[in-house]
Amino acid sequence: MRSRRYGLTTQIVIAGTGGQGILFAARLLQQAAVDAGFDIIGSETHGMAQRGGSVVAHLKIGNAKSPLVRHGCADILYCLHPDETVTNLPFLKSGGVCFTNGSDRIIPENIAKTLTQKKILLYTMDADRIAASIGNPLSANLVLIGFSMNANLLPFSLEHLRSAVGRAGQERFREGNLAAIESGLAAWNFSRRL
Amino acid sequence: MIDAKQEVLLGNGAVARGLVESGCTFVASYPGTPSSEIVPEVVRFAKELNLKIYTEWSVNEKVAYDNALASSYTGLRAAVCMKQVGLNVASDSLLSSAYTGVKGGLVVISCDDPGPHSSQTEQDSRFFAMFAKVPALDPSSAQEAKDLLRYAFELSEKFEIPVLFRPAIGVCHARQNIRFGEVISLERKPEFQKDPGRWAATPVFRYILHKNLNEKLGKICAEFESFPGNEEFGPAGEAKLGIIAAGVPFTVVTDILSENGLLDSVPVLKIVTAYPLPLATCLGFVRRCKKVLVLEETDAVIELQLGRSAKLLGRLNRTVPEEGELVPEVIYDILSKALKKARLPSLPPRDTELQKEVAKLKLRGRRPTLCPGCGHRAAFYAIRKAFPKAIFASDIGCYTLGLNLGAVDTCLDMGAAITLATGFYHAFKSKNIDQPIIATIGDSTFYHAGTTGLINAVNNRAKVVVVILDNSTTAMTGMQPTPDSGSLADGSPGEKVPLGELVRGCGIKYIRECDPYDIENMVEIVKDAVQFTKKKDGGTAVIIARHPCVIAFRDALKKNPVPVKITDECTGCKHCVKFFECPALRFDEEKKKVVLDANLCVSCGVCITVCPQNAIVKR
Repeated sequence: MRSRRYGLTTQIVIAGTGGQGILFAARLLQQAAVDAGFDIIGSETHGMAQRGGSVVAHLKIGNAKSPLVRHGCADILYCLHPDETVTNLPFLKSGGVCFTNGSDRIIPENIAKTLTQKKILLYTMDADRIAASIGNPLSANLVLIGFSMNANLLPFSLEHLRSAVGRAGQERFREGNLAAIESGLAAWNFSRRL
Repeated sequence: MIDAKQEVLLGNGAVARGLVESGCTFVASYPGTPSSEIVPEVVRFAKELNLKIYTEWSVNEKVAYDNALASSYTGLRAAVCMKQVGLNVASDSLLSSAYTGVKGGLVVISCDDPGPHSSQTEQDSRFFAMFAKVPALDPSSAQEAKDLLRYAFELSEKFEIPVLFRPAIGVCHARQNIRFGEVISLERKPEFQKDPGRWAATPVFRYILHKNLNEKLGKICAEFESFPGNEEFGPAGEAKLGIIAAGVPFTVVTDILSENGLLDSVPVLKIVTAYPLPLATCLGFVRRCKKVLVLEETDAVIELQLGRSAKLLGRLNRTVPEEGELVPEVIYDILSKALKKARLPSLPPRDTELQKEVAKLKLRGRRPTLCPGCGHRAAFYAIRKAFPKAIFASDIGCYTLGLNLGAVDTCLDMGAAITLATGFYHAFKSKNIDQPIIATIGDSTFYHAGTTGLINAVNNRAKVVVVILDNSTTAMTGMQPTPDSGSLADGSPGEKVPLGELVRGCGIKYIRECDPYDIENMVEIVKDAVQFTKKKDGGTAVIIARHPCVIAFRDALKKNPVPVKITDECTGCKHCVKFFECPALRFDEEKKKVVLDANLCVSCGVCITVCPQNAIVKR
C-alpha cells in the first residue's frame, strides 16, 4: 500500500468562462498532484458552464477535508478570462500569486494598491496569443499552467505535470497539450508582473 | 506510477463506484444537477469491469423509482438517482413503498442543491425520509459516499426498507482521489414471492404495514446509536462549546478547527445517520456542552429532532442562516461568533479587504445565456415578434434562458408550462378577456411531464398554443438522450417514441413543425396557430420547433455556414442585443455600435433577419 505524503495544503482556484477548459486544467493539476503522492480534494461548477456563465474550480493539494477554498486562503489563482480576474482576487491570501490570461492593464487603481499592501503578485500574459501561435487556440489554459511552473509554487515537478497530460486528456490531443505547456513555460521572460 | 486501486473521481463517480462495489445491478435515473453524472459513471465502470448492470434514463423520476423498486421486489439490489426536486416527482412511490418495504436493497439517491445553484428550491431531501419514515444517510465526502453505500444496501435489506441516501452538491461535484474497494458479485436470481397482503395491500392491510414500519424505525434508531460513522472528535468531558455537524459542513468546520489548532479544544459530534437521529448519542453530547452549534445542510433536520433547547445554536434561533448555501466563509463567521460568545480562543478575523475593494467597483456578474446558434433563441425571437403581449408560460431547461429575451414569464416545475398556460386561459376566459397565451416547453420536459397537461388541455378545451422546443436532447443537464433519440443510457439503440405521434395521441388536431432558424416562417406559423385557437371550432394548438442542439450536434453547423458581418448601417439601436441576445453580438460603448465577436460567432446566419436596419449581412 503506497503511503500518502502529508504536507502543507496548497490551495488553488482556477476561474474562467465556459469553453476555456477550466475543468480540464483542474483535472491536470489533480492528476499531477496524486501522481506526486498527495491526496487532493476540490470542487467544480457544472450545468450552466457552457452557457457562457463563469466556471470556477477549487483544488486543495494535501490533507484537507472540505472541497471549497475560502476567501483569503488561496496560494494560487489562475484566471483564464480577464473579466474573471478582479472578481476572484479575494480568494488569494496575503503573499498569494495570480496568473492571469490577458493582454493589457486590467487592474483598477484601488485593487492594485490593495494587492501591493497584501504582497500579492500578479502575473499577466497573453496566453490566448501564444496558444494561437502554436496552432492550438483552445489551449490557453495549459499555456498559463506551463507559465506558472516557473514560479515553483506547485508541490509537483514538471515531469509529473507532463505525465499527467497523458492520463487526464485524450491521446490524440497529448502532443498539442504538451506543446502548450512548453510554450507557456518558455514565455516567462515575456510576461508582465504587477 | 498509477495506483490501480484509486482514481480521481467526481463525487458522483464515487457514488457510481459505490453502487458497483455493492453489487447493485439496476440503476434508474432522470438527469438533474447535481445528480446527472451517476448513471454515465455506472455505465463506464460496468464496461471496464465487464459487469452486467442495467442502467436506464427513465422518462421521469417517478418512473425511474418504480422501475428500480420492482427490481428490489425480486431480491436484486437497485438504486434510483435524482436531484432533490426530482424526489417531489417520485414522492408518491417513496411514501407508498415505505409501507410495502423491499426485498433486495433499494437505495434512493437524492442529491441536494443548497444555494440553489440550479434548482427551483433548496429543499432538504432528508425531510422526505422523515415524512416517509425511511432512514436517511448523509455522507460528508466523495470517499465516504462510496464507502457508505455498502452499508446503505445492508441496512435496506436487514430491515426491508428503502434507504434515502443524500449527498449534497458539495459531495456530488467535488473531486477527490478515491480509494477503491472490492467489487462484490452477488449472483442473485430474481424471484417474486406473491404476498398480496403486502405488495398489493388495501387500506385495512396498510394499517398493519404502517405498524410494522413504525417498529422497523424504532429498531433502526437503536442500531444507529452504535453506528461507528457517528463519531465524536476532540476533547472528552465538559466543554463550553460543542459542535454537532453533518455532511459537507462537517468537513468545513473540521478544516477551520484544524487550521487554527482548535481540534483539541472543541468537541465535534459527526452525524451520518440523519434520520432517525440517535438521540441517546446526541443528547449525551449536548449534556456535556454548555452550548452546541448545529451545522448541517440544507435545513434543520437534525436540529429539529434534537428538540428545543436553549443550548442549541442553529437555524431555529437564526445563528445559522435559514436560506442559502453554508459556504466556508459563512461557517467561519458563525464559528467565530460562537467561540467568542463562549469565551474561548477565537479565530483570526477574516480578511475582507480585497472583497470590499472589489465590491466598490460594482461589477456586474456574467449571466448565463443561450449558446451562439441555439435554435431556442430563434424560436423565442419569433414567438415574441408574433405576439409581444402574450403571456409566455415556460418550463425547466436551457430554454428557461428565454428570460433574457423577454419571452419567458413563468417557470415553476416540470410540465408547468402547459398546466399554467391552460389555467391562465380559463382565468381570462371567465371574464371574456382575449389574452394570447403561448406555452414553451422542451422535448425532454414534454416527455417527462407534458403529456398529462396536454391531454387535460384538449379535454377541457383550453385554447392555448404550446410550442415544443425540440433540440433532440436533454441539454442543460449534459446532453442525455430522450425517448425520441433512439439511444439508451449505455449507448445501445432504444425504441423511438416519436414526438409528433405522441402529440397527436394526446388529441391535438392542430400540429405544425418548423425549423426556428427560419424566423419569418415561424412568425407566420405562430400567428396561424393563435388564429386557430380563436376559431369557434378551434382548440389547443401545438407547434414543434425543431433544431438540433448546436453543442450536442456540432457537425450540423459546419454543413451550411452563413458567415456574417455588421455594416456601417448599424445605428446602435440595440434591438439585436436586447431581443436576440446572441453572445457574439456585443455593444461597443465607445463606437456606440454593435460589433461581432468572431471567436464566438458560429455562422448560423439567423441574426441577418433580426436587424431592423438590415445592417447584418452575409459576408
